[in-house]
Amino acid sequence: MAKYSRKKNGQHKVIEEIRKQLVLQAERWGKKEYYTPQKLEEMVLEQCQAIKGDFLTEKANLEYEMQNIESDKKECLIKLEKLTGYLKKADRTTLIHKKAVSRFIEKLVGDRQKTQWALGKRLGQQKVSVLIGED
Amino acid sequence: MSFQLSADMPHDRLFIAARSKPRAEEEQQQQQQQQAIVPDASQATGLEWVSPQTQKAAGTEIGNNDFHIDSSLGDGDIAVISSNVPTQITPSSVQSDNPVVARMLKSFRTAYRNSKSHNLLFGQFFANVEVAALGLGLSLLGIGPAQIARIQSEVREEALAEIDNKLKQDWAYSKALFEIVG
Repeated sequence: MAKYSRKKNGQHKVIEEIRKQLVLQAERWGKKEYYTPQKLEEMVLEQCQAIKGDFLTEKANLEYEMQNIESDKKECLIKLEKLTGYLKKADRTTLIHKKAVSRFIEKLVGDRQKTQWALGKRLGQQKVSVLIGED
Repeated sequence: MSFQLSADMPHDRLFIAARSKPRAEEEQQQQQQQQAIVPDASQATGLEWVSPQTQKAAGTEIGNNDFHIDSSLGDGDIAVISSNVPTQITPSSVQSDNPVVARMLKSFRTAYRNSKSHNLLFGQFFANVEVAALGLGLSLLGIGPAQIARIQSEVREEALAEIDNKLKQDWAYSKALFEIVG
């Protein structure tokens, strides 16, 4: 168990190092503060959805294989079970990233009610006036 | 399609002849379609389908960086998946017929790119010195500052596109996959 977590930590470190290096390179090229945490989070969210799409395609393929072609049903079932687990995990991860992105947006907006109020004050309510003449 | 039935020819043969002709035509059409589709597919997906015969004829070998699936079926195709993500490479606007100048331009591009490396020692010291020296050499060979600036902007655009692609394809994808699969 300890060995597994150490391996996971190592992988996480490598991924973080790649991000740091690429963001630093972008900054050196003059794109400072372009890759904000929000943008990076959006990128990961996009990829999560892409992976989920790939899993769904694979699931459809497996189901088709099970129904139509004479194949090892047991193996297909095992694969389907695994895939269902991965799909659930993908859903969970997508939800986590969606929440993170919405948190970033909330931060930018601030208090939503106050912002709404301020916007209403600034723009004012649009009025429709009709002039009725004597004729 | 019409058939002229004669008493000399048995019906079975006629039936076979009638069926075999369109099949041959269909096969030819399929082959033509495959020839037309394969190069387009390789451009779109980054996958290159190489048959063993053409590979032998061309005398090409798969590089160390390329991940390849070799089917041991003999005549089967080999899927060559390149680890390099294809990026949009813009043709250089500044070119020269002189081989020395062309080589210098190429090394200038490389050095300028390396000068923005995340590695401080490599980027700030070696590449900057090289860029300055090569820029001086190019200006002495008749390439003006406007052209050098154009090369620099081209290299910048290429590098930024590559960084963006790497962040999206490599980093974000591996992070997402790591979180899902573990």
